[in-house]
Amino acid sequence: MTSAGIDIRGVTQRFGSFVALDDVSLQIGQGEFAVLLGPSGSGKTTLLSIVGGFLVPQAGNVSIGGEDMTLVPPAKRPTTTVFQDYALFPHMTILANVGFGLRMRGVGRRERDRKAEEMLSLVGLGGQGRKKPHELSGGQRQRVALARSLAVDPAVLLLDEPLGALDMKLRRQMQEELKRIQREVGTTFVHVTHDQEEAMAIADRIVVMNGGRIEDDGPPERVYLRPRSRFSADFMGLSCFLAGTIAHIEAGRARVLTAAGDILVEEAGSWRPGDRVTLSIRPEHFHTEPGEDGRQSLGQAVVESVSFLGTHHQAKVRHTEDDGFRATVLLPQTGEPRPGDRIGLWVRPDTPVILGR
Amino acid sequence: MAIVDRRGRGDMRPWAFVAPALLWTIAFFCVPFAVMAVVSLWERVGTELVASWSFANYAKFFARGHFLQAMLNSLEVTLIVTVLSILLAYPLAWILAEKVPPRWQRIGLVCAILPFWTSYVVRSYAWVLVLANNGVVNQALQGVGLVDEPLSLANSRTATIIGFVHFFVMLLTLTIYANLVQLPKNYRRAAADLGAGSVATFVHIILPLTLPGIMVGAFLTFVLCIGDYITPQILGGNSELVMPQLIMLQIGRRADFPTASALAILLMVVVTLVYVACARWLKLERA
Amino acid sequence: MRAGQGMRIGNILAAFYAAAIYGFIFLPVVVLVLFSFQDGRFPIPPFQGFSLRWYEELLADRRLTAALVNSVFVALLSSAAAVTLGFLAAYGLARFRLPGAGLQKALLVAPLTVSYLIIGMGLLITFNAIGFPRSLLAAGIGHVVINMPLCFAIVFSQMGEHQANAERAARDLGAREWQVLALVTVPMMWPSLFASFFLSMTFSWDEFIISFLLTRFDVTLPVEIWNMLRSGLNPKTNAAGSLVFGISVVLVLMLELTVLRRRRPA
Repeated sequence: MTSAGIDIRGVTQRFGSFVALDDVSLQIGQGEFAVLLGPSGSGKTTLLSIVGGFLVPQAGNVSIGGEDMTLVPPAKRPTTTVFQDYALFPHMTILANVGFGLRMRGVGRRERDRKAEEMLSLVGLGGQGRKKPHELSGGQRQRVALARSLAVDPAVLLLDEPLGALDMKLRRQMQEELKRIQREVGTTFVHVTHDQEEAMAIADRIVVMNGGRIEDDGPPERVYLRPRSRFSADFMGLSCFLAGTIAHIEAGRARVLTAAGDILVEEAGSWRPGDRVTLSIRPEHFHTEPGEDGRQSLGQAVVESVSFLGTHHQAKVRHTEDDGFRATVLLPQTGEPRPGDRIGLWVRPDTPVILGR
Repeated sequence: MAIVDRRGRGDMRPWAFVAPALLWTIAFFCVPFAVMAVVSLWERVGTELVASWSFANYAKFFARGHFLQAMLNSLEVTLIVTVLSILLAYPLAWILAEKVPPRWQRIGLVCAILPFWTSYVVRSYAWVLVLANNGVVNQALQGVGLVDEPLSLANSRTATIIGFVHFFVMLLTLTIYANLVQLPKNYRRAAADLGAGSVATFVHIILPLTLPGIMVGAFLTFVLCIGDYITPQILGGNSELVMPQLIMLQIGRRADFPTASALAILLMVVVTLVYVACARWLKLERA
Repeated sequence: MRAGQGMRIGNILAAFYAAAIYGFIFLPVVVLVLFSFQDGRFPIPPFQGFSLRWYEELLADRRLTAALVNSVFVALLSSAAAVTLGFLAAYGLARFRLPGAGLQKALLVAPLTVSYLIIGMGLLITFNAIGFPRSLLAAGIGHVVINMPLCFAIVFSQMGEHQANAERAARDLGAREWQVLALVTVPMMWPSLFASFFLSMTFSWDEFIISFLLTRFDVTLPVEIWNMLRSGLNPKTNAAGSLVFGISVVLVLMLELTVLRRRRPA
């Protein structure tokens, strides 16, 4: 099967006074599984609509496989779309739904049915072609929509929050399925979601969007561990933020002064002494005891509330010195932390991330 | 948010879908209306229409007592019919929605509006049969000795009103019922839970929420009733003319299209005024 | 206990009220149909026995049967035209952004607020002015004017976002505009198209004043019945009226059974 890369350059889209996309540029490689992640109104679905050809951007252009597609209608693009509500044709059988694109391309009935059956097997619905959409469960409909879009061998498959209507368990299962199918067909997938866990589970690459701009862009591990913006750190899981000032820099390490004490942070990046910054620290990166791995103390905190999450306790704490410093901390599964307990806070120099204020 | 599509503005295809209907409406609705407006400023001389360009036909309306009287008759009949129909239809719609088991409601409703689908002519004729001097009602009344002489029910304003109310009770039952069943059941439960009795629930919850349905029905009643020729013609006779009868008289007996056009436009003005009043009132309700 | 009693009295009152109103609603229809079988010269009590002779006379009446055929033709053709025009307009306005869409919608439904008499009269004067003869075609045109707004409104209200997505999917998979309409939109909208067609049929079938004003030699059934009224009360008129009513009821029941029944489980 063919597959193609996408090149989006300087795309801007306004709806009235609302700026849905603000000068967005993005390259997605051939065969990549890219996820556009962001809250509602971030512009992710608008960007998908533009790649799919449902929307012509007011500025900028889109090329797919090296060809300019900005003004090409959806039917003529090497893309197909899996819609949020699946958009199956209710009056046609499953087989007719999956074969529809081939029918439009003038493929004969026999060949069409063969190919449709093959696609149904790929998504795990072999032999179910005679049924009508309303006879299937939500997860099965989702698979039919996927098979229908893949049946025409698109170079790029666009998925608009395809798992949004499924329950949690089915969703996790479909995530694995999607990843397997993508590996099997090798098509470039662009997947839109607002669920960061889903994004991390399936993506080769996550593009974090907010307010019509790209906030962060990279492999899931990088985006989670070393987010490039405060929004990205906050949206991709929990983070606590600690205001500080860079004191000095030596050998690529920064010493940061904060109300909770001054600490050493590896990877100073391009920050300079005197810069006012924010430190982002993940809950699992706090330690409550000193250790041999270069941990530095951030003083003490009081537990305000605790919830038990099975694998661990999650505690919300307030710093004893700096009232503005509130953090979420993971505490061990055993032991019974209670509100009012005092705990120590330590961090290693390699885990905090320095971000702008 | 789901995928949106808004392609370029210069796209002419959509017009191909809308144009036939628009052109039809313009050619056979707007143009005739404009022609009527023009003709209302002309006059009939002998058998010819002469473009005299005057408001004489409108002046005639205010000058001639029986023209003005026809408008008053129309308004009076329509008002009585609208109020009576609402008063009679609401309880029936309420009984259908509240007292009848859900699976029978649909059948009850279809039955309640079955005679609605008879043509105006047939329905009015049927009422003549019922109300005639030797018709069913009079014979029944005389049979049980309630009256000695037959009541002269046919050929009267009463007959017109009965015929109209018959039709509009069905229409209003339909609109009010539709409004009642779409009210969430939990409103009633919540009101009862907060201590409201059934009367209080009705007055404070159900009635205000069904007012839009009533208003829609009332407006439909008004428009259809004030413009109907058949019912007053067959049941009311020629004693107390209403506007549509007067208009038809100008066309039928005298081929006086200018006067008929002027009268039709005056009738439309009245309907429009009522519509504007209704619309404003409805909007205030919603705000 | 007392609440239960009050409830029971309420139910009895409700039953009485419903019975009275149903009686009022059905009284004229029952009288009409009953005396169409009258074995006598007048459709008034007493009922003198059951006879089908008025129906026989009805079917032997050339003018009446011709009017019946005319009515069927006008109803079928005008409804087909009204649904087609209404559907296309609804599709265009629901799926595309057109300048002045609000105005266009208002224009399309405007005839609903004007009485049939005025619509008919406007057409009569206009047709007279351009020398277009009074005919069944003229009446049919009038029926499209009154029914198209209804078809448009019904179909437009049923064009949801779900169907729009299915159309997008079809287009995305390579369907041309006419293929989208024929293979996706029309089949998906079938219930509302069917409903508006049947509703138009019943309205056209029962319509009097426009046909009365716009036809001349060939007339529709309601106009012919109107002509019969001049002969006073007559069981043959009852028979004709019962026939019209019967056919309307069949149309409505078909609508109820096919469209509305199918729509519920979905």
